[in-house]
Order: sequence, then C-alpha cells, then structure tokens
Amino acid sequence: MWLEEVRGRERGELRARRFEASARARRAASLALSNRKEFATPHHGAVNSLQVDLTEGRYLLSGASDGSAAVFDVWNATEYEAGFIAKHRNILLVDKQHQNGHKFAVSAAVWYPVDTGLFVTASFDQYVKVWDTNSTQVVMEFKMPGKVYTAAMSPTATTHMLIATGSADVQVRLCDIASGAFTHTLSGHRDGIMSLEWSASSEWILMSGGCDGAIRFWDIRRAGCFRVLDQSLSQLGRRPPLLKSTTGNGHTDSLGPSPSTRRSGQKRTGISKKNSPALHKIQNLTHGQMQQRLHPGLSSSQNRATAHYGAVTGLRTTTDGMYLLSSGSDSRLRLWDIDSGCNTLVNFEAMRLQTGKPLQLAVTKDPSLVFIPCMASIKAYNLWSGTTFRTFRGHYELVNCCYYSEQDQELYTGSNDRQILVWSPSTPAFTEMEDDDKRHGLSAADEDNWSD
Amino acid sequence: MPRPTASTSSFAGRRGPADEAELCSAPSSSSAAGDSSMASLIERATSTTAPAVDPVLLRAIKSSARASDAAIRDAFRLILSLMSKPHAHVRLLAFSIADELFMRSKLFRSLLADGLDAFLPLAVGFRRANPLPPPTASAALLRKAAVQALERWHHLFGAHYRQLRLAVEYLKESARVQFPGLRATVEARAAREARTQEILAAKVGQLRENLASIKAEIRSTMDEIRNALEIIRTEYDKFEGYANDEDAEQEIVSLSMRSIRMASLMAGEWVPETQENEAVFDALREAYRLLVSKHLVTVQEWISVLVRVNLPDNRFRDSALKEFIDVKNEIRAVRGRCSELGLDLDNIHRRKGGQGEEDDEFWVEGNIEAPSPARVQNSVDVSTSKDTRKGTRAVGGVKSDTGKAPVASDGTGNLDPEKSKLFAEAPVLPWSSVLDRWGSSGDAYVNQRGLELESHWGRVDNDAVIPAAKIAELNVHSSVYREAPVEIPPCHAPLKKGGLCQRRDLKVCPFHGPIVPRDAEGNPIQQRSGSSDAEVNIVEHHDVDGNSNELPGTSDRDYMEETSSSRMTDANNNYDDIVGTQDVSKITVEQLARQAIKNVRKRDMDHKAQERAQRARIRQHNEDVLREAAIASTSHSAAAYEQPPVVRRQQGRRGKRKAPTLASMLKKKVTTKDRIAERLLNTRATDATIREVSHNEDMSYREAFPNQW
Repeated sequence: MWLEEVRGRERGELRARRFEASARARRAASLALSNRKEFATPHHGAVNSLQVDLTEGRYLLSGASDGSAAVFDVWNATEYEAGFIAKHRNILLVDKQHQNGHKFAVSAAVWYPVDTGLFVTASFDQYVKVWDTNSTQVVMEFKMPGKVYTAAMSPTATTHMLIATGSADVQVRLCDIASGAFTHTLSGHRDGIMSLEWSASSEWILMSGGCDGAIRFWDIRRAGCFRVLDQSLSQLGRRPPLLKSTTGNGHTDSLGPSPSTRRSGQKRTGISKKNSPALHKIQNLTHGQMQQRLHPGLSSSQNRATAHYGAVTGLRTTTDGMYLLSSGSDSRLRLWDIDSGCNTLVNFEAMRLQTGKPLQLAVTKDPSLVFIPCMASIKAYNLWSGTTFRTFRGHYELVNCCYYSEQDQELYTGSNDRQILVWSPSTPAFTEMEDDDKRHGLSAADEDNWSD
Repeated sequence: MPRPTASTSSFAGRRGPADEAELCSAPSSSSAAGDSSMASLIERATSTTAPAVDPVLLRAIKSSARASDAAIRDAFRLILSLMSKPHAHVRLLAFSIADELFMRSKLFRSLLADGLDAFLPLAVGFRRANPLPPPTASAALLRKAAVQALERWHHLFGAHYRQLRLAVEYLKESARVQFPGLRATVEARAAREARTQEILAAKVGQLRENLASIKAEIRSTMDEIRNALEIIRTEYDKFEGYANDEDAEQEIVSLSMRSIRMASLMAGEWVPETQENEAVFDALREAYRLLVSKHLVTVQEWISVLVRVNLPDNRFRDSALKEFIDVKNEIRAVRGRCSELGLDLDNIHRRKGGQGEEDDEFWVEGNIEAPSPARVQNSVDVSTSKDTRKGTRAVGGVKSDTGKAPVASDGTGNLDPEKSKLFAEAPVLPWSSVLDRWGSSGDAYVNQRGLELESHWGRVDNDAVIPAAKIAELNVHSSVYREAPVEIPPCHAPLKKGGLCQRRDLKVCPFHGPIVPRDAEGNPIQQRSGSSDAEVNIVEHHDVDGNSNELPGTSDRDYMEETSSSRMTDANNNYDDIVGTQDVSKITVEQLARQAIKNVRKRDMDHKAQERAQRARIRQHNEDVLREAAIASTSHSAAAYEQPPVVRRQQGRRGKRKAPTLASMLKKKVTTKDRIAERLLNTRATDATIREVSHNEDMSYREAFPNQW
C-alpha cells in the first residue's frame, strides 16, 4: 500500500498534498510507545502542560506541579543509552530554586507563538510570568486574583500580543505583553475558568470554558460575550444543510462576527447532501430558537445555557478553525460546530475523564483523530464517528495533557507519574533493522529462547 | 548471550523433593499428556494449593506455547484474567507461569509489555486502592517474586521495552517499592572483596619485610619466660626437697598412699611466691602477659591474613604460614608449661582478689556468732546520743580511725572532768550527714544556695523548709565495712629435719593438714580445753565490726560495765546468757552452728537450682512458641500448605481430613503469634493507661506544689 502510493506519486497520479496527507494519516494511525526516544523528566510532580513551539516544532515546553517548567529539544538527543535509545534531557529548567520561579504548581506553559524567545507560565501561586528563554529570566509578571488554571496565546494573532488567562476568578483577563497591563476583563462566567482557546481562524475570537459548564465565545473587539454554547442545541452531521442556510434569513452571517468563519462557511461541501430532508425540519427548529438577536446583551435564557453538566475541563479547536472539541467533568466529549454554535451530536464512546483538573486535548491536523487523556490512559477517537481508534497505555497515573506534534507525527503525553512519554509511529521492520545494526551485543537479544 | 536460567533455578529451589514426588503421583499429572490445550493446562496448574507450579504441568505449558503464537496469546489472556482473581495464591502461580513464558517467548514479552501497566498493580499491589488479596503469605511471596522478576526482566530486556524501563522507574521513584537490588549487591560484594584482597596483599607485603623482626621479638619473650621458669623450677625443686626428704619418699611404700600423695602434690604445685623469687615472678608474669595478650594475638591475626590472602605467588605465603604456625605452637607450649606450674592469668588475678573471697565465707560464719558487744554499743550509742543531744560533733578534728578505743584527745585535757569523761566515752565515728546535723533541731531551708538567681524551672519558694521531723526521719547513720588486717599464722607443724613448718595457710596446710593452734614444740593444743580462747579467737579474727577486734576477751566485760547506759546492761545480760549457754554445751553449739550453716547453704543452693530449672523450662517453652510463630511467616497464615508435605499426603490418602483448597487458604486462622501479639497489646494498653493516670496525678501535684518535688 505504501509502495503503491509512492508509485502513484511517481507517476503523477497522486497529488503531492494527497500523498503527504495519506502519509501523515498512516503514521498517525500507527502510533505506539516509542522505545527509541524518551524524555528524562526533571519534574518532581505531575506534568500539567505540554507544548511544542509553533515556529520550529523543535522545542517541547512542559509545566509541572512542582512549580517547574522545562524545555526539551525534540530533535536532538542529549545522549544515547545502550546505543540506540535517544535520551532527551531538558535544556532549560526553571523551578522553585530559580529566584523568580513559581511557588506552586505550574498549570499551563505556552510558547510565544511568534518565536521561541519567550514563553509564558501560569501558576497556582496566582502569577502569570513571561520568561525570556535565552536568559531564563522573568520579563514580565501579572498578578491574578486567584489560582491561574490556564493561559493561552493566539497562534494566528498578528495585531495583538495578548495572553488570555483563566483563573479561579470568574473573569477572563487578557494580559498585554506589550504594555504589561490587563487590557480586557471579560465577565460572564459564573465560576472559575478552566480552559481557554483562541480561534484558529480569527485572531479576535476567544473561547472560554468555565467551571459553571458554559462555553462562551468572546469577540475581544466588542463588549460582552456573543455566544454561549448550548448542549441541547444540536445539529446532525458536520454542518447545517447548505440549502437551508443560503435560502434562509441569513442570520448566521450576522452572528459570526469574524470574516474567517464566514469564509469557512463557503467550504460547505457535499456532506450536506447526506442529510435527509427529515433532518431539515429539526435544523429549522433549532434555528428558529436562535431567532432573537443575542449580541450584545444576551437574553437571560440564552445566557444560562450550558455545554456540559459540570465544569468544562478542556477545549480544542480543529486546525481549520471550524470545530471545537470540549471535554467536561461529566465525562463527555462534545464536538461543536463553531459556525452555527450547535452540538454536532457525535457520540464519543464511553470514557472516563479526570474531573478536577484542566485537560489538554490534541487533534490531528486533517482532522481525523482526537487524543483524550482518559484517567491513566490516552484514547484516540475518530473525530467524526466517535469510535475509539486506539487506547494508549503506559502511564501509571492520571494523564493530564497530550500534545500531538504535527510535524513529526508524534504524541507527547504528560501524567501525574511525572513522566513525559513519546508515542511515535512504529514501523517494526525498520526498527528491527536498526536494532541489528546498532546493537552489537550490548544487551540480551530480544528473541525467542526456548530451552526445552 | 546469557541464558536466563535464573527463573528455572528459582522454581526448582522452591519445591521440595517430597513435594515433587507427591505431584508426580497425583492423578492430575498422569492425564497431563492427554489433554494439552493451553486453557486447561493453565487452569490446572493454578488451581492448586501447592507452593509452586507443578514442573510437569509447566513443561507441558511451555511445549504447547512453543507450538504456536495463538497458544501464547491464549496463555497471555488467561494469565491476565487469572491475575485479576481475588486470591493471591492463584496470582502467584499465574505469575510464575508468566515469568517462565516471558523469559522465553518474544511474542509473550511484547504482549505483556503492552499490558504491563495493568499487569503490575495486580502482581505488586502498589496501588493503595487495590492491594493484593488474601492470603497474606502468598501475597508477600507474590510481591517479592514480582519485584525480583521485574528487576531481572529489566536487566535482560529493558533496552527493548520502554514499558519495562518505565515500570521500574515508576516503582522505584514514585511508588517507592523496595527493589532487592540483587545485582547491585553482587557487584558491591565483588568490589568489597577486591578491596579486601588489596588490603591483605599490602599487609603481606609489609609482612615480608617485618617477618624476621616479629619472630625475633616473640622468640626473645619466650626465652625470657623459659629462663624465668628455669629459675623458679630450681627453687621449687629446692622447696620440694625441703618439704619431703628422700627417706620420706622411701617410707611411703604402698601404691595407694603414693598416688594420694602425688595427687596432693599436684594439687599444691603452686610455687609459693616469696621475697626471694618475687622479682623473678614479676618478670615472668610480665613476659607471660606480653606473650599471651600481644604476641599470640598478632600471630593469630597474621595467620588469618595469610589464609585469606590470594596472591599470584604463593611461595612466600606458604613459608610464612608455616613459620607462624610453628611459632604459635611454641607459644602454646610455653603457655602450657606456665599453666602447668599454676602460673596463669586467672591465677594471678586470684592472688590479688583472694582475700575478699575468703572473707566472704568468714562473714557468714561470723553472723551466727554471738553479737559482739562493741557493735551493740556502737549502734545504741548513736541512737542514745541523738536523744540526749550532747551537742558534740565527733567529726571535727578527730581521727576517723574506727579501730581505736576512744581516748581523750590532747585538746580536751584542760576541760572539766565531767566533760572529759564524756569525751573519753564518746565513740569516734566517720563523718556523715547525720553528724553534720547533730543536735540541731530546727527546720532546714530547702532553697538556700546563697545565690540570688532567677530559677528557670519556675518560681522559687524561698521560705520552703524541710520540717525537723522529716530530717530526723532521714537521719540514718551508715558506715562502710572495713575488714581488719588478718595475720595468717604459720603452720608450725614439726618437721622431720627439725624446726617448725613456716608455711602460712589460711585453713589447711598442704603438707600437714588443717592448721590448729600449736605450742612451741609444734604439738597441737587440745582445742576443747581452751574453748573460750578459741571463741575469742574466732571473734577476733572474723568479726565484722572493727571495734571488737582489739578488745581482749577478758577486758571486754569490764569495759561494758563501765558504760553507764541501762540498755547497755541489757545487751550485756544477753551476751552473758549466750556465753553462759556456750559454756554449758560448747561443743554442740559450734558444731550445730556449722551444721546449720551447711544446711542453710545447701537449702539455698537447692532452692536456687530449682528456680533456675524452672526459669529454663519457661524459657524453653517461650522459645518453642516463638519459633513456631516465626516459622509461620506471617500472622493469620497457618495455611495448610505450610505443613510438611509428607504429613499432608498421608492425611489426603486416609481421607480423614479434607484436602486443602484454595478457598480454605482465605480463611483466617488465629496463630500462636497472633495470640501473643494480642496479649502483648492488651498488657501494653493497660500499662499505658496506668502510666497515663499516674502521670496525670504527678502533673497535678506538680501544678499544686511547684517547688516541692
């Protein structure tokens, strides 16, 4: 199959992008615990946050419960054990011993999206700190009113340098690195904010999930939130039917404040054809409820809508910016259509999620797979069908975060057992060959050994 | 490539020969060949109470697993399900099968590695939420086996399975499971061995240079001893000649007499240390001590070094070893000669502490003598003088020699006669706190230090006093017993060559028998006639109280009569009575007294022996019980399989008792250890309560009276 694809590419039957996508998908499908690559953890507590930098895709930033944050080089190993086990040690570590280190657990550590010169850490000691990577000094710090659960920077932003922070306080605060001050205080949630996600398509749109179970959409150019996701508001299928929305009153257009979502709306493809006419009525109904103008000053009934029963612990948009995945303490995973704000009713198979902590989910680029930390394991689900694709077992305690590196098709997971594990595409034939090359009798051969 | 034999050997070690015989005769293994499906094999292997998997079954499992991959997958699935059974013994057996397969099959390894995070908690039980199931004995075994196996797996296959590395790291770092570290200990031991060898080699190198000087030193010491012995020997011979002449030798004709004589001579082969040979003896003792405590020890050390050392060239070692052994034997010979002569380290010590030992005996004897008048007077004196409040402190500048009779000292010569008379009477006592407070009837202040200091123990009551009554209660005069110097009388038995025997022995002269008072010619004086003298003698020699020592028996009574105290006369009367009775039946009293002492001692000994026997019995019993408890390795674990297998088999055949089942293992059994533990716990609890109550009382008392405790 793999050879066929190569041949097809040679003959020009297969477009370059298709070829690449299929290669990526194949590799993503064969993820397994890597024996060749391991991170030597410098942390003494649970790993809460993992992110590979967005510019090079080379440096992994981790934040842990012992108040430390570390940076690893994903490409180059520090040393090789037994000849072929690449051991990656941290190339940078800031912990409690550091003069400006965090006192309590680091809940989130994110790279500055433009380059690797800065990174941001948010901690339970109520501070958000901006670090200079090269000098490992604190450049700037923001005092928050409560424990900081999450921090996020927009990967697409070109006009602002805002760190969105969610804390035990009910307000989302936006910290401006340029001025060193809070620029926004977004009020609306009735409880602390566990998860934040910037829209992948618009630099002005921020999504927040709170402990009150609500997911709110904010346009930072305007006052107030413009949408609250309602779990009872649902649509079947990926998109609302094309016919309906074009022939309808077009309120959806006015709803989406970002030009990008509108653009993405045009990409509605033949999928809608699958929707049966019977479904159209339901869609109509839901849209009928959305009739009132919601923004600004949402009606109170709309304002109280919830996305999950219990806290919203994780948010992740797909890379194309059209869908939002949310995980809740009700152990449910929901896929939302960002454009319509509807629950797509994808039924993700039974899972049990950690409830007390923010979770970091990961989605592949295409998007076809979603990786969810489910207690001590990581589960990969098919995004559209919700079926379990694979379960990754290897951690011994609760897993907090996972990060899928698109560039290397590797999955990094951090857990309460302090470990950062690497799950990489396994190609048994290749590794066997490499083994034979590199081993040279360093340790016992991994072969059958029947003595009797 | 190292063959993983460790696991097989461990299993072989766990089963006894009797066990194996039993299992082979069991019907289960006879049909093992017939049914070879993996599931039934594993089921049968794990549904037994035997401490290990039946080797026959294990072989069958291995051979069927070897046949196909599907069988291995089956086995893995089965083992995983068995591992989750709530019975530690089933888990233990399943784990041992898993261990065998893991060491052999690559497929099984990869399967297990993938499921290791589910498998390990079931085998090690490190999660607090789900610990290992009962029975505890099997659980402990399982845990130990699992940790050991994991370490072995990690060592052999860790490079190929990230999961193994991860598991070991997690168990070590996060779950804090103690790994036996067998490999590490082996390596450490090897390193230690190498280091010791190095040190030993260095020592031997040193020895190579010093050997001659060491030997010379030892030889010189030995020569010294030999010379000293020679000198003493000649003197001894002289003495012997002096003790018995040739004619005396000839006189003793009969063999029995001769042998008796020889025995007595051997017993008394102690060369008396006199002034002439004292210097020789000292030198000998010195040299002997040097030889035994230094040279012998060094020689033995060197021998042990030479035995342990491992040199490439063994010639020097062998020769040196031989020499040292020769030297050691020589030293032994010299020591033997010394002890033959009665010169021994023990002997030397006895010579120094000998007198005390003898006196102990006399003390007991003196106890049943009539109470010495002087002693009575002494004790009474203290009490009376306290009552009469003479106000004189006999402490002052008076000599504290207890033995002297009270004499008016020079300072009192010009005092009025009454007072000087009193002074003449006053006994001289050693100083004590009783005398310090003599005659003062007032209260004493408690906190009188002369320093105005803030006490850090709390506030101080400066007016606290000890009442006079309390002080009077506390005033008890005590004195230390000092033995009187004893002059050992010479034997004075007439010798053949004329003159009297000058040996001084306490009771028995080795040549002339018991020492009796003799007249100038050496004829024994008839004891019975001079009974009062003997009586006095005994008092003189053996009485404990020094005061009576110097008082001659005749003046005794006069002295007593002089003292004016009425109680004194009472005591005198008493004394007279006793003396009177003694006069009447002198012989019988003394004999009776001796007999009584003997009887009392014998009874005492018997009693002690009985007690000792009783204690020994109790100890023996306790040890038995404890050993039993220790053999049942944990509490609640007198499980059936811990009985010797032979016994169990017999029971099984007769069918009198039910064969032990897996379910029966889960039942708790109260073992001796448990009972003891419970008893201990109970007594400890009561003890603790009592302690607490008393502590509380104490605290409240302290609270109420801060300065009076």
